[in-house]
Amino acid sequence: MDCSEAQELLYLSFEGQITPSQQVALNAHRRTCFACSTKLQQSEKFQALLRKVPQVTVPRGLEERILAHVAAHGGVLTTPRPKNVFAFPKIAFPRLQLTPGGVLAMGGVLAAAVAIFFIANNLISTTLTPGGSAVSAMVQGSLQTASGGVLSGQIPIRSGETVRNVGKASVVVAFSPNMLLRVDPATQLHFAKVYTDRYTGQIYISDMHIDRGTVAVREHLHRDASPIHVATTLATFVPTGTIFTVTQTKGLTHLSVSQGRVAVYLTRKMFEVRAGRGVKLVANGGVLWDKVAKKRKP
Amino acid sequence: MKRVAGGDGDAFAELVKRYTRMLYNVAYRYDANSAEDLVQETFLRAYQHADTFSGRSKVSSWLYRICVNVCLTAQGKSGAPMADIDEINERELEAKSEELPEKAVERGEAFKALEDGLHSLPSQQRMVFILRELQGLSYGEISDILGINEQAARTNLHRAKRRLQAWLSPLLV
Repeated sequence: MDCSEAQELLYLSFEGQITPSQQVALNAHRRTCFACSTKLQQSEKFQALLRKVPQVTVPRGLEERILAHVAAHGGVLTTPRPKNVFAFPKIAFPRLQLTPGGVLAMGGVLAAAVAIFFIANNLISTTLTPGGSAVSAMVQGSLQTASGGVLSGQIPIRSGETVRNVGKASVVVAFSPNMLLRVDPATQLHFAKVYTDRYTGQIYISDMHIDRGTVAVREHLHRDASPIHVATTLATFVPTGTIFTVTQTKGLTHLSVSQGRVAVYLTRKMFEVRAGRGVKLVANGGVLWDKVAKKRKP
Repeated sequence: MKRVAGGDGDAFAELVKRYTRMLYNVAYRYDANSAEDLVQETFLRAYQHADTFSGRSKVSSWLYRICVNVCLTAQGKSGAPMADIDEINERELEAKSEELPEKAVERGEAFKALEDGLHSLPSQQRMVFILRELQGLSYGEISDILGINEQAARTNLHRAKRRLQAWLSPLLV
């Protein structure tokens, strides 16, 4: 074996594609060939360096600039027709043999359903904020803002807001009955981008960064898009109909999924963590699967 | 993608939100100075040609392919070298390792040196290296995205790694 072949085999070994006999040959070459032993050591150091290459941070506002660029050069981006948030699922009804009494009973049921529809629709339309860069939330407990203010009760949370839980008890932030955060003590998080869909009323927290501490997320609003994206310095998490917890400490992010699944975006790969699993992400790019996550609701 | 092809602004915004980071990382590693322009152009082409997405590949692979084409085309227009894998003498790169600034070595600025070395590579080697080593794609995906066979992807990667290793050798002692 010459040194060039040894180098090729080493590259194969980095990719886990070396056969046992090739490994034996490579080891034998390394023991006997002093000429390339330094080079092979450098290859290993080089490979270790590649594993630590950090992901590039996307410049702030790039997404908006992309949309503006496409709107300017690709034609007008049409907005979709308003979605019917109360759309009934398609159900195959069995054929019914209706009697006069049955028709009356069905009429009563339909009338009740229509009444509930209008009452619910009215309630929701009066409580949702139409568009804008703020969302309405109910804070159970109190959070401190970066400017020293206190958030408590029914309050608007704006894009760019940084909040801290400086108390000793967890604070629950309810954006709707189906989207809640539990902010544990000694936690700081930043709502970089929040808004309400002007047509559906759905709340989006598309960029929430956990600076430190623990935040549990319960998100059951998933329809077409994930309404909440959670990021730390090490990864971005995109959940789907999910209950999960993210803990950020210096150099370590711990994700634990209790329900649904969470997509994890890292520097070099993307993977999913399903219910009952957890994962620890370390600053040098390492990924450690954790033991089974406990069922936990925020 | 059907909604994007139908001009659904919200669906396109979701596409942008989901894939900007991925594409920006490719574009930045390919050409840091033009990364933002390259990503904008990628999404513009994706929007304009959304109706051609057949669904046979993943959306991410389709976007990677557009991004790669945008990067290679932009480099061609700018007049920067687009040397083929065999056009550069490996000794040239090995000689360049002597030009690494001493201070960079002292400060251990290995990542910066890696970026510099990456920009010295021929375009195809550079792209294979980015997709495989920095984005973690399989050879199958890379061959699909670049329109080359898997063996060619492997050869490109190994040559790129040999050259970069030679470039970085002062930092790897």
